[in-house]
Amino acid sequence: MMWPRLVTVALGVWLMAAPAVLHSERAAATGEDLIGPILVGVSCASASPVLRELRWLALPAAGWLVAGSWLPGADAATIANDIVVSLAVAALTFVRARGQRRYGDGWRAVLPLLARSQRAPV
Amino acid sequence: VPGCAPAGWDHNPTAAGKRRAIAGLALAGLCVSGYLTLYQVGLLSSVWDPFFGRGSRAVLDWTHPFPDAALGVAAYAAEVVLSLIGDDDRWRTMPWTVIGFGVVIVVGALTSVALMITQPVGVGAWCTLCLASAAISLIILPWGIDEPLAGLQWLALVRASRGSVWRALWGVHNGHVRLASARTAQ
Repeated sequence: MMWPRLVTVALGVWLMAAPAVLHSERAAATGEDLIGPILVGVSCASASPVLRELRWLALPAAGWLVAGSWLPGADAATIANDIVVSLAVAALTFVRARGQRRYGDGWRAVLPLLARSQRAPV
Repeated sequence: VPGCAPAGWDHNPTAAGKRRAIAGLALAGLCVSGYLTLYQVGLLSSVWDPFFGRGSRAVLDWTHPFPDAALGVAAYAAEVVLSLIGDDDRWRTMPWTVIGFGVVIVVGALTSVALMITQPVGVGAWCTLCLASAAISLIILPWGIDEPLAGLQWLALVRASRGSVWRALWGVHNGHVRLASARTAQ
């Protein structure tokens, strides 16, 4: 069940298109131009069960989008769009896709590689 | 549980069918970035774009004279080759292939996000095929990222067995690897 990530990808794509659709001012569109691709990338990555914790990166991105929408030159439609999309992204972030597959102990099992080296017995 | 699945897994991340599918997708990316490279090096005078008109040319000319799409060709070619090397249990017999593959797909996905930002912010235009190439990289990442995880888990298991991680990385078997294999089978 990875629909939350797919919806977030769609919202990211919408953000990329929004400046043209809503005829946003160039300065106000920069936030959408930045955050849209970041949301797409983060959501695609976290569609994998082994990377699903990356979805939390969408939270600061959504916050940045809302903060940036208040830049001078932003029109009401851009501000409203950014707030609605940010709220939706934030809400979807808390929906944890339930993976059916097992991956051992995941990345935790890799940690011994980072431990100090041991001398192998002869 | 498939016979080649790592310990604690219910599937084999390096099953041949899955790797062939990823290689096919990477091959599509290779064709797209190859086409864009042909334009950037001047072998094609125009580039096809069904949505953004001259936007593609603006994006592709932005790095002139450097044909940055060639980096995409190299990355996708590496993905194709690294996907096709080895048998079903290559996460254990050839960990370098899955770790190399992991590095390429992570770098490819990060670069894709950067390029998607650069188009509107740096160039002020969009390029349909550049976006298609980015989409391919972003699909391959979640699809293939369990391969390097399996390889790294295996190397950690070899290390826990006090074996040589370096030798195991290159698939050079020794007693410690057999010990780790026994642990995997348990």
